[in-house]
Amino acid sequence: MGFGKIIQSFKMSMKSILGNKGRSALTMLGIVIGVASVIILTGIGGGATKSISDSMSEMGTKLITVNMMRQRGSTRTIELEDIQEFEEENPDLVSGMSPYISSSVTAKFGTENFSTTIDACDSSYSEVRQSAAKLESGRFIADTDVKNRSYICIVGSYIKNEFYGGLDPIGETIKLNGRKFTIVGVYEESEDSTESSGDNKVTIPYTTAMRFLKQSYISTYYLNASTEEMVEPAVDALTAFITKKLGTDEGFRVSSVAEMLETLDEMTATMTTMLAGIAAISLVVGGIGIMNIMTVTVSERTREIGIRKAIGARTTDILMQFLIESVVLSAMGGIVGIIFGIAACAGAGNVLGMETVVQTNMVFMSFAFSIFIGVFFGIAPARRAAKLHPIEALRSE
Amino acid sequence: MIRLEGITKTYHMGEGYLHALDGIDLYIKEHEFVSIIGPSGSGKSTLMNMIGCLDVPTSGRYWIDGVETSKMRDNELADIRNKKLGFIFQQYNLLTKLSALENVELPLIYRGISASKRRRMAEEALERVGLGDKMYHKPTELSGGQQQRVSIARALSSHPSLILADEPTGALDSKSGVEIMQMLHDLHEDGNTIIIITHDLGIAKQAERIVTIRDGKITSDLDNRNDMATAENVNAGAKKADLDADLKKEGEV
Ligand SMILES: Nc1ncnc2c1ncn2[C@@H]1O[C@H](COP(=O)(O)OP(=O)(O)OP(=O)(O)O)[C@@H](O)[C@H]1O
Ligand SMILES: [Mg+2]
Repeated sequence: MGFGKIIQSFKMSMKSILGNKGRSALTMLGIVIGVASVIILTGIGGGATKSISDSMSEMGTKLITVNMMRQRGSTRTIELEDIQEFEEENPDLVSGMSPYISSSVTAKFGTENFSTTIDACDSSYSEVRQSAAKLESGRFIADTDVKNRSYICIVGSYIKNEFYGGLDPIGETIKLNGRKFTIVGVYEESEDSTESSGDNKVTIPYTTAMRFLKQSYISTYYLNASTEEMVEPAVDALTAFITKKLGTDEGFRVSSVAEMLETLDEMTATMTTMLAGIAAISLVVGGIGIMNIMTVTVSERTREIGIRKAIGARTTDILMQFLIESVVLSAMGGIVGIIFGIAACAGAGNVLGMETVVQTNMVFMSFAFSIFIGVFFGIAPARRAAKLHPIEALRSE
Repeated sequence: MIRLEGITKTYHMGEGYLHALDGIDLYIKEHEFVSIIGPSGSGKSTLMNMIGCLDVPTSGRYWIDGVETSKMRDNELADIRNKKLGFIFQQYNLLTKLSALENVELPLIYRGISASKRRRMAEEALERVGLGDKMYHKPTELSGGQQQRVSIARALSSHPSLILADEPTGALDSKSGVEIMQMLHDLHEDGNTIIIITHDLGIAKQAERIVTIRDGKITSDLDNRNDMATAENVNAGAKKADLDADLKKEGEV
């Protein structure tokens, strides 16, 4: 089977495919739909994953979170001093730590009441949480504020726009749960400055919050790993540290954004495989369609096969001719499917505003799979053609 | 050139057997022009398929150019057909989707000849049959006679040792038939070995040797070289009456 013969078989199959355009198109349809749906489904999946992982990355890939669950009857609790001790002992692992309290409060401005969220933290919070909104004006919480439990706050752009007419509110006061707070800073707009957005927030010193919200216990700490590579060792060391202090490895959780991203990646991989698997079923169905048509083609062209055999075509020549035809069909279906799939992903992105990310590896894999389908389902009809007896084939009409 | 010894071909027909060929012994030398005649169903085409390596005998032995083919496998037979034989069929058997040139190139493709060389060979063959100006025509755009000439060109293109023609003029009007026969004569003159199967005595007479077959057996084998003029001479052999009767039955004398 020389190269020249393969070229010739390819030309012949193109002739026969183009000579019967309608039928060829219908035959390819299954493969087109299969490949297009692999690309669209994984593209949508990829888009969803990307937007989740983007917003997770925004939180900072070096961020480590410690959550303490309230333990009834436990003899020992983890206090701020413990976490500070860990921070001091492990300067190579972590740089920066902030306790964190979050609560919903009623704010009062003049006679108007509205609900807002308070973040309570200490002065290093803005470094620990890279995602924390930037200041538009004023200052952040200072160490003295924490020490003195000052009633100061930093407000979001919603509050500035809604109650101070967009003017700089620094030095003004706002009432939270009946207590007067002095505004020392304003955040830049991070979302769209509406009541339901992240711009409706107030940040205060955690010491103030503990007194003011009557909390004696801090359940959340944010730590900043010194580098991204240190995230994992820091999580491990911190877990060991707390376990040792508590005498148990229950009742707390140390997690990192990096770890969540990893989990997300695993989930994405599983989901992608599943979607691809479902789409592969339609590829297999497309393959059965090809087998059908090739079987019909072989019986229609029995006489042609007889003629070719009479003038000296070997079994392999006939086999290759029909195999190449079915592979060309499935490959063409694959290419059309790829074009459709990518166009549909772009369309979903533009028209539906849905984020899609075409998975390049899926494009190649589905193309390779459609070629495999062409071979797999083409082999039986091609063998049937190759095995025909020349005389019987010549006699057929 | 070719030698058949005790060739039989038997078909199972329900309970019984049908001996399409029943002990054929035949020797044909190089450069001979032989015609095979006989009534319908006598086994002519079966014999031609046997000689053409399209079919294998039930028993007997067959040599072509000194090589025994009786026990060859399919691919070896395909190679023999490709290299040593050229077929001309009653129904032309051209591929309708291909141009004349592509049809003539086909055996050369299977022989593995390079594109430029096989194109040259195919063009030569088509020019030889007088179709140099119709190379890019599809068979459907050609007359019957022209189609048969394409199929002669196809048979010629690979320079076979033996040209086999089964009723080559059967589907043609008499004028085209004469042209085709002239072409075969020319090929014979050029040194080709030709076997032609026919019902038509007039055509059979044009050969150097006439083999008559009946019920799968050779019933006469006449040398026609010295006197090619009359039907009487063709029939001068032992089975004259039979042959006359056969030919009358066919209604083609
Ligand atoms: N595949 C087959 N199965 C059964 N019988 C067959 C088969 N092929 C041929 N025969 C029989 O063998 C005999 C010889 O057939 P063959 O085709 O050789 O005749 P022929 O001389 O070429 O006739 P014609 O002049 O009509 O073409 C016939 O009786 C035919 O019915
Ligand atoms: Mg016949």
